[in-house]
Amino acid sequence: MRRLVFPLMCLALALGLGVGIGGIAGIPARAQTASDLVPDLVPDLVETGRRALEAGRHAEAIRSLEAAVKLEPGAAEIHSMLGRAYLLDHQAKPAQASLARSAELGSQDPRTFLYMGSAAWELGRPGEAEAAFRKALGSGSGASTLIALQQLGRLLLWQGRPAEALDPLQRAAVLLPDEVDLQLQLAQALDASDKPAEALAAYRRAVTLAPELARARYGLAQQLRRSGDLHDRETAGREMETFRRLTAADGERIRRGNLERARLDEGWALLQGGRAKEAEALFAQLGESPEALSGVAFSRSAAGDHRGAVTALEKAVTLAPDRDDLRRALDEERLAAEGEKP
Amino acid sequence: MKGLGLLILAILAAPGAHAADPTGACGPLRLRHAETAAGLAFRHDSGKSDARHLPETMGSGVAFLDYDGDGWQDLYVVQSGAFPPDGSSRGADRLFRNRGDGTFEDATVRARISDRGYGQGVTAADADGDGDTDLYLSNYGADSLLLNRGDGTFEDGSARSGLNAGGWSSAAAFADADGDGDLDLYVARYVKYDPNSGVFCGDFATGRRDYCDISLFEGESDLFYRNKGDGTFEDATRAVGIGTSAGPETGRGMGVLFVDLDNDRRPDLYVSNDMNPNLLFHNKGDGTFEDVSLFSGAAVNAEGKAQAGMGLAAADFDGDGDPDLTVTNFDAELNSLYRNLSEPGNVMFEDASNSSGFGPPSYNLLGFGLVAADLDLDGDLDAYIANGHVFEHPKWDSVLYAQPDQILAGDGRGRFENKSCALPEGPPQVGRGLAAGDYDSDGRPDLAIQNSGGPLELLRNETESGGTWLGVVLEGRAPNTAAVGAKVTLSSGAGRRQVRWATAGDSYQSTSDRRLLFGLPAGEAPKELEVAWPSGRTQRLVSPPTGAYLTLSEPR
Repeated sequence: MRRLVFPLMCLALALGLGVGIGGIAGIPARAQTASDLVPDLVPDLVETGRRALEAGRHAEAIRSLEAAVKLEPGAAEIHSMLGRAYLLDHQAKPAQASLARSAELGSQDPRTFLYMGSAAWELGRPGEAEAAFRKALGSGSGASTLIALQQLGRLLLWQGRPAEALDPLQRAAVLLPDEVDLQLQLAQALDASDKPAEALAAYRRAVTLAPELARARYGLAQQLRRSGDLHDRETAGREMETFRRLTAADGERIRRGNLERARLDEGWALLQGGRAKEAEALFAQLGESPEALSGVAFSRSAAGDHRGAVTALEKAVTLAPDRDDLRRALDEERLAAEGEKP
Repeated sequence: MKGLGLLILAILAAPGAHAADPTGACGPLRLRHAETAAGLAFRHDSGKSDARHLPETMGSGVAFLDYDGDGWQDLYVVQSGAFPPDGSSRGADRLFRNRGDGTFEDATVRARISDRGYGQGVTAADADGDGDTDLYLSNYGADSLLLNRGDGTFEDGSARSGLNAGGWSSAAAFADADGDGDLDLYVARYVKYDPNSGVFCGDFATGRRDYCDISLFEGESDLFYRNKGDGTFEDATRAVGIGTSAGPETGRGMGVLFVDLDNDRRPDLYVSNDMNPNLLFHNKGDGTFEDVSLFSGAAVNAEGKAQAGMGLAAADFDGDGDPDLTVTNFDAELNSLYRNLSEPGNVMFEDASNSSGFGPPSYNLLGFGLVAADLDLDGDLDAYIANGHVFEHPKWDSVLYAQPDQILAGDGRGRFENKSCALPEGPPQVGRGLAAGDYDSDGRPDLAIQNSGGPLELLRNETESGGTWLGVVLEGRAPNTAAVGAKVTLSSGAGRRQVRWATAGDSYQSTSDRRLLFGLPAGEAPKELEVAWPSGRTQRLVSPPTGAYLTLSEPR
């Protein structure tokens, strides 16, 4: 179930907008507070929160930023960052409160309003979401403008206001012409605004950009089918067959992926319950993915077999050389293995 | 009158005055909890255990039916029970007989209701064509057919009829699909679920399990049974051109209904699937169907995404005389409204979920039961949706397990306004099955709601619209004695045309009152009532009386 915040996040990260606040330089001057007694504490907490947020450790980010907000309640940017952390942790209600507080304190950061719009949308308040996206549009530039345009366009489309959605979506598409979701949203808005030829062109562009994307094929097929032209209808039939094939493949891929994740979780639950041998056996059945191998390693480690854990982790690191967590675990297990009897 | 095929059985006066909404914010619509006053003491037993088996969170259904032929709507309530099923009394369904005074009595034992399967759905229809209402029960495990003996009791006809599908059936619907006069059956089946699979879903850090995402399971293929006319049915799934193969890309059926979508007077078939494209089969008129799902525009949403389809309803929401399709979906998806653009032989829909206002209010809700009824008696169809999540701990804090239901008031032109402010006070429940039925025969559609692990709810409609109503009871020719498939059109002086279709099975795992209700706003008189019978005959009645249920018999 892809909810609204994820497209925003993906786009934000793709554009290098990130989730941080650019270090602590943005924290405004403040009156004397408890933090003045421990001057380094707030910047440290904010930096810890920022790092945790960027690493996807949302709960940890929230803990740090909540502590920072307590010490520095007048800092708009910390409230904003905390709001973003809440939203990424699927807590729309506190996210909305923190982002609103940030705005009250005078935040001019367009991200405050982008995330505020997403939080309002999550909470089923489209009017507030629209106001926030428009505010982001008015206060931002560059990447944030692009995101604001797309979010506003999507929201208006979602509300059944396709004609109004056209302007922001068209402006966004000019800025980011190769973004397939944008093309699809634009196509929908054009079609619903009685501009079938332009909608067809947008669907064709989407298919060109992402030929393996099932929903792009579907949109094109439906648009062709509605044209009434016999040749178009035949093409529509072929597109629909492609859609059917891609959908079936996607479904199977999702099923297999989810099944593997569930089995991994089952292994971790066994390990958590002190059943290391059973956990190892289960992880071993799941093949040689980095996740399964790390499960094997942790199971062996829990059973005192650190050499075995090293063997598994070495394989895992070979498969995923960029995974710092695996490297760290490998180092720790090597240390532990040195103390093991041969 | 009789020569016209018209017989007025009863004219029932509407009850006395009801308190008006002091604020007026919600209009005249008034619903009130009546389960306690009506003596309906039933609590759904999901069988929930620490293992969190998926079937525990999917049931169950409810049906309005007049099983004893006394003119009052009784209630059949599906129980689930222990899981894995153990055949114990925990799984015993209940039949509540309407006493006709606003209360019900438990008639389960007296009526010899015997089903103790792990219950999901119930479909009420005259399956054997003998003039009384039978019950098809969809179960996890073998399904059951309970045949009404006509003396207030039922007998198990599953084995004799050949209707005993196994696997995990969710819902079923009856219609005369092949035009031979008797009712055929479609059974929507969900997934292949093995209680011993041991797959862990939940929070591994705490070991706390939750229900698994259904994408982990392969779909179970649906079944079509052809009625052989001798009290038995045969599996004709492939023979009629349905033949969905089991697999991840098919199945996961949740809801099903038969209705004539393209006005060719043959029942077409629509099936809601969970995380797979919905199915739409066009009835070719030769006993077979053509799969037009994807091209119909009603299989996936406008973005080309298959959604988690649950309950469904077909109704003419935009007043153009054909049935539009509505489907309830998961949270973060929107409930769907597919506007009917079909012509005979060309089934075509467009996704109007957003533009109609039907979808957006459902963003944080997970819908199951769905009925279309003129709840506020203004002459326009509204929708009532029973909501409740499948996961006990949804990911977002804006989404809850127990959820409020929803009322969407239609304007008769295909647009909706959220009127959930008219919901009666009470704690939110984990809604599943939902059926509409006028249990007090006052012309106002009441609602019965099944809640997973919760109490059965009966919402009495106490709307004072200032207008009037007209009810129609269709008596078809045997063996289709309830005239399933008939289309009834009421034209009124204001130029309004209201259409209803006689169906057997829709919503989620449920069956609504088979009587057809029309609301008429103040000052609007009915001009003509037209019945298009399944046999092909058409009858017209000029200036039909109001404030009454009319019984119309199919001419020979």
